[in-house]
Amino acid sequence: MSDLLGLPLVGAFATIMLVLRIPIGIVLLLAGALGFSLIRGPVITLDMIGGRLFDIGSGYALSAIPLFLLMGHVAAKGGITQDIYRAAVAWFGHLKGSVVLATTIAAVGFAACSGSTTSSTAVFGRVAIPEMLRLKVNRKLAAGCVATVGTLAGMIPPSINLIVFGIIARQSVPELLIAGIIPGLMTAAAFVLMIYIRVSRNPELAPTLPRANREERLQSLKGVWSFLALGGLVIGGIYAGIFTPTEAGALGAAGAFVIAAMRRRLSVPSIKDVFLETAQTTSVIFIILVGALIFSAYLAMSGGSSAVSEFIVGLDLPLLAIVALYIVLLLALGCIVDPISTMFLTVPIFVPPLVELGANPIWLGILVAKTLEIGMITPPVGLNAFVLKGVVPSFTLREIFGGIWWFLQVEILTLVLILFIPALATWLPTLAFTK
Amino acid sequence: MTSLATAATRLQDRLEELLCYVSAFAVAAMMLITTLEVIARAAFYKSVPGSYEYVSLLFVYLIYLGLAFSQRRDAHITIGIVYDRLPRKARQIVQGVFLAVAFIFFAAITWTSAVSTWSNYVLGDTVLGVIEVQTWWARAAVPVGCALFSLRFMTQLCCLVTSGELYEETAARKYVPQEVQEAEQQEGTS
Repeated sequence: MSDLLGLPLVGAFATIMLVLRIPIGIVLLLAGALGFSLIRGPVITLDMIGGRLFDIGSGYALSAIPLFLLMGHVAAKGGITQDIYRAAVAWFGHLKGSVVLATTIAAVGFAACSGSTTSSTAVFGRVAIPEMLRLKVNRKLAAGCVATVGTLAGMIPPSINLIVFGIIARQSVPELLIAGIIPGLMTAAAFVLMIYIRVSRNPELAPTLPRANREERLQSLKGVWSFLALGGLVIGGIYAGIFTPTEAGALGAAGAFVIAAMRRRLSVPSIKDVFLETAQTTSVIFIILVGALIFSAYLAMSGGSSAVSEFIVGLDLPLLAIVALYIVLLLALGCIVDPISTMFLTVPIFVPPLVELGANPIWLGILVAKTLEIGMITPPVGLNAFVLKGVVPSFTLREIFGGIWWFLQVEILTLVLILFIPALATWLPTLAFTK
Repeated sequence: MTSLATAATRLQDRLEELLCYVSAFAVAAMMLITTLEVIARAAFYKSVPGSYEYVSLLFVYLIYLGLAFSQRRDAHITIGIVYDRLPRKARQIVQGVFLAVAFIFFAAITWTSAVSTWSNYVLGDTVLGVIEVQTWWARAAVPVGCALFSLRFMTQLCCLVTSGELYEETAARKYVPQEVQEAEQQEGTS
């Protein structure tokens, strides 16, 4: 019990550092080290961390993440985003919502090649925003659309957030990835519907384009079918149990290289850039993961994790109410901390007792990923808004967050649907993996 | 003295870039090894010996060798809710304290991880799979990456003390496109 006494000190130390622009991974690492030092002393703590850094970094399951990042970077550098976007505009540009609708549909296609919400937002910011602004689409709608539809990559496989959840919660990563398909498509469909209704009511929001003829439409598919087939191969391979997620990531990245090279879309400097970008993004993501692992190990050792777990199991509330409370906590944390840290800080504490109370862990994984998706677009630290701002500097944050508001309502609606209808998340994996 | 410092900084920059290339090479190798493994399994019903072990070990390079490069470019994810509202002098103090603590912490971690790597090398630590793979070469990435990370904090601290420039300002000056900087300034003044 005495080890618990240091928790408020460590918590305050971490919170102060966090708001002072200190890198999140380093905050977690330093806070974890402080906590361990209070229990075991500084020398043993430094020895322990020095020894553990290798063990944390040498996991086969986690190596799926850089490979999917690589696949996404190749797809983006190889011009796949432009191809998918052009095809979506050719097929759907004449409908109410025009390019905004097309961007949402294109984001679904790109999400199947990239598991990173921020890179999806960045590439669509570069590709779709100039076109939207040229066509005089309402600035808020354009900004809100691109900042939000990027989050579809956090749900549609290969979602990096779902891989991380699977590893922390010790659940089947393939099942989680497959479970993300229906909620991801459902969210995209809800976005499309919302855009269609809004633009129908106020056509000035997004001028409709002339209908492309049949030949133009078929021509537009030329650039996308191979990448979509690759995305299908990756998802299908996981669904059929032929590949592990790491193998699917490697095949996806290699396939994307082959397709981009065959189309002469990759030069030697851009290949170099793709690998360097992947290396840099991986180190940025994984320093957070390393810090969060050290910090959650401290929470476990201090007895903090088990105290919270016991508290949850002892609550005299229905399961749905406890899950809803967990979602509220995730929403609050997600507004200020990135998804990976939030998962490492909360999943080891909350998911085991919830599973013990009868919750389906796959359903919980989808709820967590969905909630963290929402955190990516909510102020003050909606990461996607800042990514978009970096790519399109002429947008103000007020415009971006103002535009996100409508999409946020749709996100919350779909979250509530998944909360009350767990089959939306569990039906497909049950179908695929129950023999 | 100034030219010596410039040469040292340039060497540090080159080393960070070199390590970033090594980690880029690691991800390429991971992709190739795993792809070969899948093809060999599908075409010849055979596994590439050690593929699982090599991919796991190469991953360590990818995590630790790019840390300093990312810090130099201010690419690590941060939250500046309070920091951004502080007066410049207070920001300099906060950053000075952070850089000093981070330098000491990662220098200590460099030492303890180097000791751990050395003892594993002496003991001949291996991962056992279809074949036996030594781990020391992958373990070495931890102290090497942490050493450069620690040195980067030291360099940024020196820069802060001598010129008063915050490291996010240095990174923005060197790596953020001019149009983004101008737009941020405009938003700040409007």
